[in-house]
Amino acid sequence: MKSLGRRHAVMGLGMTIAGCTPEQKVVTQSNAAAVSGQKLSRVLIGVRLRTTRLTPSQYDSLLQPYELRQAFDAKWPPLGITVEVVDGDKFSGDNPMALIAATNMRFHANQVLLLHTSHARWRGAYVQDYDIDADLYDSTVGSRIWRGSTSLPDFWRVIGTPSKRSEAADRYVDGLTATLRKDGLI
Amino acid sequence: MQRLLLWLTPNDERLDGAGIAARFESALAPYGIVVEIGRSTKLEIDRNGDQKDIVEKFNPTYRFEIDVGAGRTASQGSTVISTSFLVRGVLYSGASRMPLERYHYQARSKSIPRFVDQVVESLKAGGYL
Repeated sequence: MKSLGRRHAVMGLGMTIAGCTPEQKVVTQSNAAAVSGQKLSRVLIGVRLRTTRLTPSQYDSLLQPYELRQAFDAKWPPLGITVEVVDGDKFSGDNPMALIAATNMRFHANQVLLLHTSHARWRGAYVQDYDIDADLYDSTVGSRIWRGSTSLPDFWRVIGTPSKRSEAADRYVDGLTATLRKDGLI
Repeated sequence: MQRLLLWLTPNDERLDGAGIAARFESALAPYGIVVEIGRSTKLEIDRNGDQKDIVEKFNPTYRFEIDVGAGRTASQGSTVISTSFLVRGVLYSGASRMPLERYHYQARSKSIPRFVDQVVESLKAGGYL
């Protein structure tokens, strides 16, 4: 624990595991800045897949914004969280504030969650397994308050089967939710 | 440049930070430049805050921050065929957050001496040394 006197004290790294069988387990690591009382309420989620050069088939093999939207739309409103998922690849650059400004004109999010693919292991044209990194920002002040990284092992097993891809998106959101809850944000 | 704060990745899992630091120290020593090493934290949230103590103590004239971007590994079964990832380096003055210079390097291994050499050459050409 770093010394107080700064605006936030870093709570430290944590990890949660979600999933049934060993090959389905998703592992999420996180780091949270302690912001007392802040809970997710109205969240704009930007999904960015193009963090490396991808062929069209490689791009299509990753969990798509619409698949993640379906999972978030099913799971977060029952928790009292209003969400909107947008395709972050439509916004250029690394500056998340551009996404916040453009979409918040009508959505007025309290928090912005940016999801982007991290290290991916490829087997030819499709992804074998990869990580999704998440950055959570307080949109009022524009500062980052939480980071997470989720490993999706054996992801290749779900490619080509819509129902399995849907289940994989659900597992990802479940893992993310469990970690955010553990860190006091849900 | 008199005192350089070299800010590296949290560990040497993907990048040989110790090797990079040694190469910078060796290349900059003839110019009388003192190098201090700092490491970011895993899943870093507030770099400004993380650097506060070392910046106050060391008072760098410049900072060079190295980060690793998204990477990809091609494999056949359990055999890794190739790996590549983006290395980003940004030069700042003192404690400023305004980048002076940006560098990108497509790395294919943890050891990146060519990146260090190219950065040093660029610093020389830019009049920083």
